[in-house]
Amino acid sequence: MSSKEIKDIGIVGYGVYIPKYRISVDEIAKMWHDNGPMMAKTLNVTEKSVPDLDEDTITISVMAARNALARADRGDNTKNNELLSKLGAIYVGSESHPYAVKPSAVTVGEAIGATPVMTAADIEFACKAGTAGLQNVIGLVKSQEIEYGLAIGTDCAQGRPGDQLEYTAGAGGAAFIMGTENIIAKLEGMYSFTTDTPDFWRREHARYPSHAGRFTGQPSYFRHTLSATKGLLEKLDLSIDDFDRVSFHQPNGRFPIAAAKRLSIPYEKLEDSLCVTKIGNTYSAASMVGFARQLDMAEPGERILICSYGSGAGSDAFSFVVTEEIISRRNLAPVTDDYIEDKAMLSYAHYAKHRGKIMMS
Amino acid sequence: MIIMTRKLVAENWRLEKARYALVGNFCKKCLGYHFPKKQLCLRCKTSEHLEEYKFKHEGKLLEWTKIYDPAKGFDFAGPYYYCIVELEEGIKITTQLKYVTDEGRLKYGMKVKLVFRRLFSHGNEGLNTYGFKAVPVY
Ligand SMILES: [Zn+2]
Repeated sequence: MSSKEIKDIGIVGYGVYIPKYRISVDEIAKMWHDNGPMMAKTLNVTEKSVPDLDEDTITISVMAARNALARADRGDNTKNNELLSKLGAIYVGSESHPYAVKPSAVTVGEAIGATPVMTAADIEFACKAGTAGLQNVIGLVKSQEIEYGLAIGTDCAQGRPGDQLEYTAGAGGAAFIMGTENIIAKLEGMYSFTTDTPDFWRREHARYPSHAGRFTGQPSYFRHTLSATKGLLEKLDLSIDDFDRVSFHQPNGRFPIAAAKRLSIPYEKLEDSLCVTKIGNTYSAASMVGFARQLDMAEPGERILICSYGSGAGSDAFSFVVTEEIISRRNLAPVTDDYIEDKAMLSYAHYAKHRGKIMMS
Repeated sequence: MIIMTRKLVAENWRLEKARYALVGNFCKKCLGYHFPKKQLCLRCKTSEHLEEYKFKHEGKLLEWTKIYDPAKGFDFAGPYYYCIVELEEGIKITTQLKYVTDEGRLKYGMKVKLVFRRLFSHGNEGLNTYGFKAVPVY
């Protein structure tokens, strides 16, 4: 394949997975004698997703990857095997890998049947590890080292009990298979903006992350998100009006709205991506789940901007143009709303059990 | 203790294709399915006609029971349901049945799908075992 010309690169399959359980901001607030309605309004989040007792970053990745494969194989199982034999890379981006040492990506590879002729690695960059993986995959496909590559952004985020983060730290995953044939959305370009900005961190062996409060806003989320977005527009010689839809990282329901406002993006172009209000901040998955929901609803020809943000800090921005293929492919797997709407509420006590805050021995 | 851990590691590794991706085999001669993978077709007594086969993640619910007193290591999950599922290809497997909030809604022969879950964590420092569990489709 080395002699072939470089064709268009894009998404050939995408899939999300969100655990069934939720806890409301109100229920968490009751536990700490906070004002629930006020907290929900301040964060613009009413509920967040909670993993089941037997779910973690690996199980969520596998479920999302299977959904992505179902869309990639175009409903034909024989193509599935053919595609899997050509899937040359799997990257799983997360800050909550179940193992400190032993890759999540190998279990994903084995579970979907892509092993053994492939490369794999776990990636960590706070909430933008998923898009960093996407960049790796794009690079490999573009250089024709591999035909297909899978990038997953996923997390089962932990917030310190009583901390502001506890209200939003959710769980979910999104998987994207990149390739050059039967593309659902064509990649136009990408742009990153990265600095050493210590707004949020977790040391080895620490159970919960620490954060720098208000410092997470202007010098961190906004500076990187706005700079990456503006950089991408300049690189592609596009204006924000050329985009029909956007998805930003969503640590809460307010930040992405404020970012859109500062870029003069009408709320309607952002709205469909705002999953955070119902499932909380899914960390590495957040901007990718928002993007997936945009794909669930997009018309052929629409241009979509996705911009992640990871603390520490950096943003990756991408521009995609949706193709006709979206029509026949999006219903080959559950759409994002199927997961958002299929929910069961937990009390704080059950939530504490689900998040391993109750010790059996 | 070390011996036990080693055994679990080997078992984990040996069964992972079956547990992760429902990999078994199909015999082209007697048209029989095997799960997990067998070295020989039990009917034809030869490996000659065997090919690898990935079972579909769907089946029907044959039996179920509620476990009130979980086995050691599963105490966290109790009470929970355990069930027998017949896969589309006719193979029967046993597994945990998830999301049973109203037992009255369970029906013999109803459709179930298999999802990917953590089956067991071997303490704080041991391996995690992953595999399939069943979810009723109402
Ligand atoms: Zn046979």
